[in-house]
Amino acid sequence: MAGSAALHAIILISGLIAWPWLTKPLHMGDVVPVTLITSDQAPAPKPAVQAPQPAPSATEEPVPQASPQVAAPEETPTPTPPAPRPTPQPVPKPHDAQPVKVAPQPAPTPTPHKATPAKPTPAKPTPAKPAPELDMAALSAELSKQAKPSGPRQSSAARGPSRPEQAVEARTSSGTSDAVSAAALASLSGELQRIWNPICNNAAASDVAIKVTFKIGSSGILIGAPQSSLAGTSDNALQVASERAVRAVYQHGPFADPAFRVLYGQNITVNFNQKKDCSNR
Amino acid sequence: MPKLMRLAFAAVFLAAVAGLAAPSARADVSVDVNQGVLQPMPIAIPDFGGAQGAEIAKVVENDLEGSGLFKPLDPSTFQEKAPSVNVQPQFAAWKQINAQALLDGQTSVDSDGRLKVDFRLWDVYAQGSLIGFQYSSTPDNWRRLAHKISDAVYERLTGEKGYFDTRVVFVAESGPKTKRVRRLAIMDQDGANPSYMTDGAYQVFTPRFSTNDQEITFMALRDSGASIYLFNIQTGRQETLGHFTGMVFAPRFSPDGTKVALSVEKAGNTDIYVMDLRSREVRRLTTDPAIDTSPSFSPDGSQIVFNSDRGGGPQIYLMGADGSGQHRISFGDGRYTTPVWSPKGDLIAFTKQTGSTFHIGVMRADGSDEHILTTSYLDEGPTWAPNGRMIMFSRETPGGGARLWTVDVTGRVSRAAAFPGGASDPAWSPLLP
Repeated sequence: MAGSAALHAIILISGLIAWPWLTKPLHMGDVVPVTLITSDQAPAPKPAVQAPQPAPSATEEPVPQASPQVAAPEETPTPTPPAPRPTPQPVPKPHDAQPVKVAPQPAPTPTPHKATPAKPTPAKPTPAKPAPELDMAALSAELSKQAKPSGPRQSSAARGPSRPEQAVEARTSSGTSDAVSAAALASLSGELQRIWNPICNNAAASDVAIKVTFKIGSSGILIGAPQSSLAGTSDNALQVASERAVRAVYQHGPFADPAFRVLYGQNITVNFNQKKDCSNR
Repeated sequence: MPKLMRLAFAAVFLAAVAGLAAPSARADVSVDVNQGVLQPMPIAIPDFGGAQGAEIAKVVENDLEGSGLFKPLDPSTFQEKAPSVNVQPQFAAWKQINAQALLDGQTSVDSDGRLKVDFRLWDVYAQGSLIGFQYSSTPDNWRRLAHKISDAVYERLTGEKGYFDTRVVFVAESGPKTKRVRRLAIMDQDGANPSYMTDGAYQVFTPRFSTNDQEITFMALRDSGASIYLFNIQTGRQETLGHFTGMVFAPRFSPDGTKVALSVEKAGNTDIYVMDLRSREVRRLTTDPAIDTSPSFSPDGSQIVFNSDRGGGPQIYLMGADGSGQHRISFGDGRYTTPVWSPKGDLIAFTKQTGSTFHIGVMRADGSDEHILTTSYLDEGPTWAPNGRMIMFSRETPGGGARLWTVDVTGRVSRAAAFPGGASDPAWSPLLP
């Protein structure tokens, strides 16, 4: 019995030792086959016809994420204005209380104090009534006439603020918003730094900076697709570097932290500097 | 008065319009990100559908993980269990498990009996297809199909060629140290399909792959002397480069495969020679009385890096392919041996001995930026993967035999090759055709 067990053990051990070699004993001169592999482009994928259907059952993120992205462009232009609209309801009051018709009279200059102490703007909606009487074509013509003499002034006043904002750094229009923007950008930079997975194993890719531009909607989600300055490059390594920078932005989203609100609606350009990153490694 | 009012209304109206347009006119802001985090990319690789689909997915997973650049995710976390290769997956489900890329595939057998694999790589965050291919081969060749898929994925996600569809020749060692049997052997780069190519009747040393062909050169040592062999593993054709008076060793192909550089010892002096494989004409490149050995061509064939002790101890030297301009490029402490030029041309790998420890290291082609990748009791004999990113070498531990290991050029990713027996002197093949 013990002898049999020992014999089996010996056979097993010798089998294990010889295993890798017994699979394919070759000798000098034998051919090691290199079977050719044929390749072809796979057919184009079908759109996610089936995918969205199962998605709802899972009650996963995809659904909420998908829809806001589509709706996002509409969101941005009117961030909060829809909410104030209910406030114009006070306007109907003047309707009921016809005496409010007096409102137009005080409107010229003095009475704004009474009618709308805290909300001067809601008072403005009252002109909505006269609006039907308004001949916009004539008005704009008239306005343009009057504007001509003071034309240069008007344009500089209206566009003045927006021009300096095209500067490379955060907005400089006011001290506080400037500081808030700078803080938000610094925070954004720090967070992207923790996500961005650069590629430094290629000389060409290690020597570039990738600018990724994107916009954040009012709820902190990305509006549209981030655009890379290297998009469309024919160089594989640069393409990969570009995709990784874009992926970092996607991966970060949504930008729901209140700190980022100051950036909502702005074109944000993140300069992913591979040159600096890779040279430090 | 009414005119004034109308103007006021108009001004309000225009201001409102301008206000609505304001967000789009808001300024650009920019910020720099100067540092990222180099980390393996999380990739989801569900089992492929069809026969051998699971096995193929496993091989791909193992390949990518072994590169150190990818982190295959645990299949038990997958929410979409069997994504169809030709239908967009539910990206949100893959985002939830932090997958950045998704590879799915499907196998089928053609009417002629060939195994076909359709696969597609998806960018989970950009929600689009990155590549989609069909590969086909004989069913017994499924591992190569898997390696080809790994190469395609690797190239698409890193921007450089892969190295998975390759083989490694090496010296399989067995028996006691005093009577060691050294046989020529070959295996896939991942350790699969190992097999002997010589029977152990003679000792085999320094096998080397041609950089563009399935041809091997190696030194065979018999009682009668040493000879250099050429062996085409695809055609089976073999030949010797002739007998040399004295010892010949360390042969290595030129990049175009038309020449072999080697060391020849004559009258106690070892020098480097180059043999033209067509004419068999031999030309001596070094004449120094010191030991000159381990020649390795630069990828463009214009230079040769070699090892010499002409400065008192083994150091690394460089010369033109015709032997001109010999100069030293390594100046660190320790003994430098077995220099090997990277296929990319940017780095030279070497063995370094400092005190009682050995290292595998790399330096730039001018000798600068030396970087030690490994430290061990005995590490030696580096060989480059064809993409110049991974290095295989042999490691011996005290009391143990030699084993094959791999390390990447950063030194961060190192692991033992999946080969169970004693092995040394590896040489990596180019990508298979």
